[in-house]
Amino acid sequence: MNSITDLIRKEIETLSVDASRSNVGKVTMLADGVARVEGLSKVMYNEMVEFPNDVLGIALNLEEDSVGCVLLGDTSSLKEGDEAKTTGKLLSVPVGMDLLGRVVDAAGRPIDGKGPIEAKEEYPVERIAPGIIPRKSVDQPLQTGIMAVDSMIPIGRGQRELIIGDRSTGKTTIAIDTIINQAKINKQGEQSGNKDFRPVYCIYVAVGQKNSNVARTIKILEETGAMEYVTIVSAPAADNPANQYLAPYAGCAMGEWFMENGRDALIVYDDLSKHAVAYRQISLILKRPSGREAYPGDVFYLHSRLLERSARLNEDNGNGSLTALPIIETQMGDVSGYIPTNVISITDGQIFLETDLFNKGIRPAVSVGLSVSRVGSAAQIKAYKKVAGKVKLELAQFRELAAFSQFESDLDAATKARLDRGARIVEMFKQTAFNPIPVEVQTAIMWGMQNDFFDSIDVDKISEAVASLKDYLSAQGKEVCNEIYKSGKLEESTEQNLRSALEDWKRTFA
Amino acid sequence: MSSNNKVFKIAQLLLNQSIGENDRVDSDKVSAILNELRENPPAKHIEILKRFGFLVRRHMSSYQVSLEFKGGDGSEITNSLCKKNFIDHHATEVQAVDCPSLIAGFRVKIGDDVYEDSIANRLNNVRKALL
Ligand SMILES: Nc1ncnc2c1ncn2[C@@H]1O[C@H](COP(=O)(O)OP(=O)(O)O)[C@@H](O)[C@H]1O
Ligand SMILES: [Mg+2]
Repeated sequence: MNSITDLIRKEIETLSVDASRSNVGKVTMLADGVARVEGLSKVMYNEMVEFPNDVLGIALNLEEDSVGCVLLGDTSSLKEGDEAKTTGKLLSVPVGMDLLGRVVDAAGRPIDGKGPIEAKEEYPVERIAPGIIPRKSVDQPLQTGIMAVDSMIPIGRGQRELIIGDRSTGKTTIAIDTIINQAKINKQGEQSGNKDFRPVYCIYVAVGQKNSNVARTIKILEETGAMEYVTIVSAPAADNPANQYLAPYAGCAMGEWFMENGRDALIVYDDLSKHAVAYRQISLILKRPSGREAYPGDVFYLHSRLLERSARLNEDNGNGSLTALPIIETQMGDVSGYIPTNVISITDGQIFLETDLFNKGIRPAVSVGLSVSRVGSAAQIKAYKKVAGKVKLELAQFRELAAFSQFESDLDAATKARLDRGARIVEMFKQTAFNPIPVEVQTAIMWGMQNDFFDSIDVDKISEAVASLKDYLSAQGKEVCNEIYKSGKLEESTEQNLRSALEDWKRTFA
Repeated sequence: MSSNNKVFKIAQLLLNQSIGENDRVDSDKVSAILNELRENPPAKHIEILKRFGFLVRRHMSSYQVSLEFKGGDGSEITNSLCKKNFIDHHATEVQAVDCPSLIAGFRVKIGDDVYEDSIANRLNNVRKALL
């Protein structure tokens, strides 16, 4: 009760200074979560605008005689002729540890029925990205737990790696796997008692997805125990385009809080194709001039200003990082569309997923030739680098040889050996969904591949063998994995222990 | 875009020609312009008229002040607002109306700027703070 009276007193104190001043305008058009307002001559770009019945909007399009606003929340009560008023504030969302484990909308309001969020801080959703000087180059790994990615397309903290592919090629699955893997690593790190351990917190932004898909994602994250490290920002397809437009920026602000407070965070934008479509819809309603594929001219800026906010900060600035995994959905594998080419040019590499591979059962359907990571290999741990260094080349050579040699009957021994190895690597990389593999186990498996442990096993039995080796490594072989986990290196003694462990496993498997 | 610019330029010229004493829009001049346009319709007649209408409205709102108040006397409030430099008596035409929904206090609108000190507004702010 006391706090309420205090609140009233404070409010009156601030008011009694003088008359409050605002700048107003009149709604002249309303459609699909967008309002055109005449007046508002002093509004700022991205300023919050107040409409009747507590509806909020954001000034997006400033023209000489009118302002285009995107509206947040339920706009059904608004009508033409309503008054709109500037607030002098930018849209902000709650940030901080209290958001972990929660599902929120584009304005940061909880939608999971778990009660209010007691955040102590708010960040504006649009911010200027850190410049060059406070940044540092990527040098710490962000392990996805997916062998094909960690070995061939390694990602570092602060990197922006695009996940691109047609619908239903496993894009979301790769992102979710990565989040699950962070949770696993966080738990392992917290248990290890290592004071230098840096957990990675995750933000998953769902834009324009079906509610059922978002619900499925939440369920998976809960079942795998990852949710305690995750915030989900949801602007589903049923939501108005304004919320879909804002959600990535809101999620980014939440991620920036971690980065600026010396922590590491990962943000997934699933997906930016739908984000661009929402923005196109808003722009068309506002009658902004449109260009290629009917997108407005500034659509490049839409994504560049978002992805630029991901960074690795240097020691003077707290050493935090924000890693981004934007997702783009292509049509029939066409990466030359307007939005895909834009985002490819902004990011530090891409994981390209192919429908063909997916349908052949090669899952995750990572295309070796078209996927790259321009900065991540600097961040791989030593032990891993040692075993993974050659694998991308081996696989690329295999693809080439396989294409040439499919009609040949008598191959020379060297070619045959390469083909055999390649076929086994392909099998080794097959991995089911939501089953990330810890980096030390991956190291051991790949070490086994490099050291010919799989050569005597039939290609169609490799998956089974890898699964059995995985089981072995998490039971009897635990010690050697721990050794790799702790040192991050493959010393001679560790390699000896690995050899005897794998020999032991091989006996049980055969 | 360039034809749009032409419309904007012509409309601005028409506005300049409509302004008379004290920087006010002169209704005689406006009707003369409208007659002239009707007799010799230019290209993009409607667009020019729309833009001209907008500019006239905007210009007029810069000196037409609306004062809504509840309690006290309209001209007294106007005088005190002039003293506080909210409005300039010479440059503006003040139109005062009694507005019970304010409960008590005033609301001045100059162009699209609004100054308000009323009980209704304070209550609304308190309500928002408690949401
Ligand atoms: N590695 C995998 N192994 C088996 N099934 C997978 C794998 N990756 C994805 N899937 C399945 O494929 C379907 C589509 O995956 P999803 O990640 O939703 O695709 P996208 O996001 O590209 O549309 C899902 O049912 C998912 O469970
Ligand atoms: Mg998906």
